[in-house]
Order: sequence, then structure tokens, then C-alpha cells
Amino acid sequence: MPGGYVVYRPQSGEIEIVAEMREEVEVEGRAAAVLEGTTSGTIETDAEGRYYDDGWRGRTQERAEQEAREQADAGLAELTRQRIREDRLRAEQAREESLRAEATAAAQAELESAARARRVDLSAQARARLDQVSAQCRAAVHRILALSFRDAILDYAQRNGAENIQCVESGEIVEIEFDIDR
Amino acid sequence: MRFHVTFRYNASTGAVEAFEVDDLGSDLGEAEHNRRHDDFAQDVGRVIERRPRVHEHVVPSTLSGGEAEVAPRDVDPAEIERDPSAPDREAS
Repeated sequence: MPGGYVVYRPQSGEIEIVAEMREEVEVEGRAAAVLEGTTSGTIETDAEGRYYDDGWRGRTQERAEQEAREQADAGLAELTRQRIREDRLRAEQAREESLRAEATAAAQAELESAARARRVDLSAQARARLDQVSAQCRAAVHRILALSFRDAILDYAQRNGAENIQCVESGEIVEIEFDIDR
Repeated sequence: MRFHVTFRYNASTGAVEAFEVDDLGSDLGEAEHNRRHDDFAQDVGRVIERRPRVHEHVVPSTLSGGEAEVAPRDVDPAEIERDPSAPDREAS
């Protein structure tokens, strides 16, 4: 039968009916953390500007100093970004393992809770299915017995010269009567 | 010796509601009468059950009447056994 099986054991005359209900439960665990921190340290850079004493082609000392400051600022900004990236990466790596453990634990707890809830539902469904199939099996067996009893008793009556044999089948009832001399 | 047999099976419950062997009287002595009644009840009972159990009910208002009920072994006799003193019983 769908979702189970029926076994008949001729030796004992038992019918075993098993209903099974299965369902895959899937959950996802998440863990998040906000990492905050400050980075401190010394960042150094240098830049160089060239000029001519006579300011040839506009390369004056002021301009050279200006360009050198701009280069130094750009270099500092890049070094700062790089330092922040490196520090953030280190912080994330340090928290990664504990975050994964938290997510796994959360998923496990969620899974157990979901499985527990589903198990109750599935057990109730399996019980209902079992009752349904059991009733169907019993009804089938009873119908077969009704026919077998009817045929066997009528055969007995006829083989033994019975008289006034009556057989009435009304709905689920089989009734047989006869008179016999022995 | 003549018998009247009644068999009733309810397929909705799976119960043999009646399997009765009424004797319709004989000229035999009581012992022989009872022996034949039991033998026949056993014989007809074996049609549906390998080792049937036979219960005798003697109707108080008659000397010769009586009936035997055949109970399949997997049916509780209490379910099909009649009360011997029940007022609706008829002498066989």
C-alpha cells in the first residue's frame, strides 16, 4: 500500500499493517555580528617635487611643494585604506569561526524544533492512515469470509441431503437456514 | 433425528452472529439424543472452524427440545450465546 505495507502470516493468521510517513525537514541557520573597531598606527609616506631656481617652465618651488604635498596626501590616503582593509579582514577572520559555530548551533536548534513539530503531525497522519487501511483490510477479509462461509455451508447442506435450504444475503448480512436428518 | 440449522454472519463486523442447531425432536433416549445432537453440531461447526466449541441450551419448557450453538474459536461465545431464560426463546 502507499506509505507502508501489509503482511499476512498464514501460520498465525495475523495481518500486520504498517503505515509510514516521512518528510524531509530543512532549515537554515544564520548568525551575524557587527564588527566595530579602530585602527591606529603610524603611516608614513614621502613625495618629491622638483623645481628650478629660475622657475623654468613654471617649475617654481611653490609648485614643487604643492605637487609633493598632493602626492603625499594621495599616498597617505591609499595607505590608510589599505591598512583598514587589512585590519578588517583580520577581524573578520577572527570572528568567522565563532560566527559559524553560532549559525550551526542555531540551525541545529531550529531543525530539532521543526522536526519535533513535524513528527507529531506525521504520527497523527500515519495513525489515521493506519486506521483507514486497517478498516479496509478488515472489510475485505470479512467480505471474503462471508462468501467462503456461505459457499461452504451451502455445499455441506447440499452434500448431506438438507431440505428447505434458504440463503438470504441482505447488505452485509448472510443468513442460511436448512433442515437436515442425521 | 432431524435438525434445523441457522447461520448468520455479519460482514460489517466480522461476527458470526448465530450458528444454531435446533433439534426438531426424536424418539431416542436422552443420552443418545444428546450425543447425536452434539456430534452433528460439531460436524456442521467444522465447516467454518477446525475445532468448534459447542454450547448447549436446554429449553426449560420442553423435555426433548434443545439447541446447540457453534462458536468459532476466534469469536467470544459471550457475543453469540443466548440467555437460556430469555423469554423470546422458542421450544424446538
